[in-house]
Amino acid sequence: MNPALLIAAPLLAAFIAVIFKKIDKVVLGVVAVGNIAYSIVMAVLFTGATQIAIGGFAPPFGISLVLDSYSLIGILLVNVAFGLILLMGTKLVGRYGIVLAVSLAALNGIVLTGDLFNLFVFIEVAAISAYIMTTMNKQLKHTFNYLILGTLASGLLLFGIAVLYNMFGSLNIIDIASKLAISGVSAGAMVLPIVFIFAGLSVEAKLIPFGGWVRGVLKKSNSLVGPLLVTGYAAAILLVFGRLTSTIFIMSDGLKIALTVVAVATLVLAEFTAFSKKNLREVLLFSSIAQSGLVVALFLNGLTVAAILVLVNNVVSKLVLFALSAKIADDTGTDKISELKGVFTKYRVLGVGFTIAAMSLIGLPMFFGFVAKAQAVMSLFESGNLWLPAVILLVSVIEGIYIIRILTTLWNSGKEGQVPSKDAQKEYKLNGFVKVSIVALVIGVLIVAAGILPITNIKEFLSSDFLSFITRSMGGV
Amino acid sequence: MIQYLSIALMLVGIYGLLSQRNMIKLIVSLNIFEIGLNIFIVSIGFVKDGLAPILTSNHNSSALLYVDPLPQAMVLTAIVIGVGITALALALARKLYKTHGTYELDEMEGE
Repeated sequence: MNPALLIAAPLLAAFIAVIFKKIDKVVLGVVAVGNIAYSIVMAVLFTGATQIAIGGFAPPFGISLVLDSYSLIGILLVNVAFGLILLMGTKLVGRYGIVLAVSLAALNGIVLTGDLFNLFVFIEVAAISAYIMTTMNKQLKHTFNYLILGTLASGLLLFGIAVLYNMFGSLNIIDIASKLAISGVSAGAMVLPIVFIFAGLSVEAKLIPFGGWVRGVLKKSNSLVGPLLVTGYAAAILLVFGRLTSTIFIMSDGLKIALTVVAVATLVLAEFTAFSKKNLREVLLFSSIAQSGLVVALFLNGLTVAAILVLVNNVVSKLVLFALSAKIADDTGTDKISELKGVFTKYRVLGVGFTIAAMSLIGLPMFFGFVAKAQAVMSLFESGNLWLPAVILLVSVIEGIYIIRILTTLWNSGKEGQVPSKDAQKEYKLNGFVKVSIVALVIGVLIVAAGILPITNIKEFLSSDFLSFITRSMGGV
Repeated sequence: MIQYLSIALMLVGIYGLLSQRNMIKLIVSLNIFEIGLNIFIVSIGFVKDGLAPILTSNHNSSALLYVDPLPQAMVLTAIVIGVGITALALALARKLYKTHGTYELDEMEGE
């Protein structure tokens, strides 16, 4: 099983779509389904972590892809999210089929690659496709700002990578990690590359203050671009972040606290901003900024399993929430919460899917989000950290308040606390909502199922294999 | 020495990005930043009195002193990506100019 196919197939599809413009949607659909199937097959047949050399050059001299349980989770997440978003927004693809195929290739590459410069290239390719995709929203000025900020950030990332290459003479992540262990480079010497790589990744990961582009680009996004940037892109970048923090980020306590403060500040500020917003999509995008902050904070404190669980919960629930909100906004012409009173009383299935995803996002028991957040808080307590769980619980309350406020408005067309009269019912008309409802409902069932089942299996799978791979490769590649 | 100069060039680019509001000037600043970065990366591979890393009939021993070819390959890729982004940014700027009649970001209305 060669994971390089996950990158090569979408790229080939993009080239075919350039030549045969008429069948670009078909090609894109085939490759999206194929990638999902292939990543599931790889997960089933997975026997152990391997490094796959590309082009016949043995790592660390050539580019290599890393296939372990960590990157498997990444490719499953990215490909399934991409497939579902494509399914829900097929009509919006239009002339953007080629760009979408390229972005799928780049996202798979970001998750799989084991080489730092290759990572930079994939991030750039993904970013360029993102710039082009956001022109769909007709907010060109914001797209331009995003482009400038994104390019500056990847420049900083490249600077950090160049400094690392100068220090270790290698670009292979695992090779650098083993050289770090042998050479005993001090944490002080690592500050420069870590800070630059952190800043470079933070723009795409949407951390405050680097995520200034998000609001302008995404507040009017349709049900294709918005969900893709909030789920697929965020997942890929955050997973890279986790990979780097657990291998080559050797941090002094001071630096770790400084970066954690950035992440926690993102979490708190974004949740408060989401609380104050009146539009559905704006609330959701500030909430995803907050979740990015939480995931980064967990990664920085070495809690890989908890971070992955929170990330998966965020991707799955935001996928439903953002896609449904954008769908409602596209069809009704507004996503102002106060103007959408009682929209779910007519579209109940849609409402149930939305509600389950929202409950999971807050982290209520019986839903997957509870498992994720409980794991995060418990492992923080175990590691002796007391202030971070307190912050997480506090912002969860804020999150709970604004999400439940949204849900009551969307379910109830009348005044609060009263049964609405028939006249108060506003008429809403949604086109082709069946497909969206089914996707939302299926994901909802999965969220509930994952919330009830015990997670010890996932936990063991994750920690044993992933960590053993790193320690084993420390001994020599 | 050249590394300090290239970092100074990067800082000039960042200063331009922070101080300008004209789209063309922003794109130029971005390019200055990228050129500084590229010179920095090439300078990493520099070896004093090193040869070009190509095996020829005159220099056919791996024991000779060569400069590091990897940063050069990296810069080549970075230049290509930079050109692509510049083209995309210029296309966006042109499109914005057509709708708003100005290259100044502050003078655009309605977005």
